[in-house]
Amino acid sequence: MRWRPMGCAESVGGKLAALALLALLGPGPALGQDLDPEVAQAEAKTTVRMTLDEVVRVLQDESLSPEQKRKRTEEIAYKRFDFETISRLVLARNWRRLSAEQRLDFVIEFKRHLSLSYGDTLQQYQDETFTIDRTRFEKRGDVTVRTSIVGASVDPILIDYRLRKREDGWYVIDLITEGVSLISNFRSQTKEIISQIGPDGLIERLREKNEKRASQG
Amino acid sequence: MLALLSGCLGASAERPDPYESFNRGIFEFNNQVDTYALEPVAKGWSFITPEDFRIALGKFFQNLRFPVRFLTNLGQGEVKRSGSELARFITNSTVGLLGFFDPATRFGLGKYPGDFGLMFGRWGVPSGPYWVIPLVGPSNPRDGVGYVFDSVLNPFSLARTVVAVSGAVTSTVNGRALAEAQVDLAREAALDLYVFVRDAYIQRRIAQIRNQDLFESDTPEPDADDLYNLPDDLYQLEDEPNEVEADGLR
Repeated sequence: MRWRPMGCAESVGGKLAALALLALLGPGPALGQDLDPEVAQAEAKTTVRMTLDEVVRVLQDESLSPEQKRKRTEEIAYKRFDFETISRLVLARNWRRLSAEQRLDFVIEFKRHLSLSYGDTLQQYQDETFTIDRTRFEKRGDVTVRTSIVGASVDPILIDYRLRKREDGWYVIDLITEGVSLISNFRSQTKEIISQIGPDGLIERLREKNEKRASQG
Repeated sequence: MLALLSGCLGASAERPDPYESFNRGIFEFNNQVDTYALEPVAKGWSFITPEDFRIALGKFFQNLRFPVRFLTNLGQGEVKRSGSELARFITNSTVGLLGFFDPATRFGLGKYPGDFGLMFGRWGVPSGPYWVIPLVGPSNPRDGVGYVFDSVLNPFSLARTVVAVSGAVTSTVNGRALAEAQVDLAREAALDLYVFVRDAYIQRRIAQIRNQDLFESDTPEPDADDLYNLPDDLYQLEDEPNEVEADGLR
């Protein structure tokens, strides 16, 4: 059976059921250690290429409304990003301080937050093209795939995707835009916020931000 | 002298922002200036000009900033890169119609960004503490000194004329218009915009100084180790409540 990390927690109504699911469905262990670097890089590159092709097809489909486009790209992102690993890496040591329920809330709200903010930006790039430039094999069997968005500005925008292999394929665990890692950046922010208002305060702030944007449509 | 300047203002890696509360004040001021002055003008500019024109104009201004790239690449001993920048400048200023177009890239002449802060960084000058400069934005003592050199060598500051001033203003407005998507993203995505921008600035400068072209090599990111490390005990955390229960049962 193929479980996707956090794939369907939101569609399940009860929080208890979702909690049980989180425990059950957490992504399997990363397979990093024994990967062949050549094969790994080729696989990760293909994953990124297929995903970006899919996104571009949606963005350029003129029969879709902006809202439909946002929804479709969100679906694509949801199945290719490992939001649980991203959340753990973002919270780092603070992950320990969160209860199981707080962890689940954080993963759900953070996922929505990234989807809402990056989804809006993505819409502005519908006329641009992307290229896949290089790959690099990292420690722990991760692979970084360097891409650039061409035509949006004077210089191409460099975006690196860092992927990690799980039993059912490669998942994105970080986005590095012009040398700035999403994980690292949100780690600093959440660290600062947790130290000021605690984990519940952080989750509440995320939720408020998400609700506000959702109601704005 | 630079080394001295940065040395005595020692900011450690653990505490890169000792003047945070002061910086936050200036950051807020800059943010207001952007929201109420620069952004509206840039939006108007975007409304009356086609995107292709804004990009071409951006290329024109970038071409004019050639002296800084030429000198700072040379200052790092990157003679080939300096040469490439020189060839780019000649090509784009002529065949590229004053730099509005960039045929040089198609001829295989690579772009090598550079500024004085970056050059000092490659020389090993530490950045010093994080500073937010009014109307300029994120910086630090090293990059601030570099910025002065960059500005002096900017062709618009060489000639003090109406043309120069309007050129500088247009460059700023045009640049802001081109960056609209990124600024929007930062404002949308940030949970704490100040920290978001500060960390993005610090990380980006480190990446630039480390030389992003090294991506070609097979060497993994040197400092990324800690960032992507999920220690095994983190994985076991999900069992933690059970352990506590088990303890209670005992």
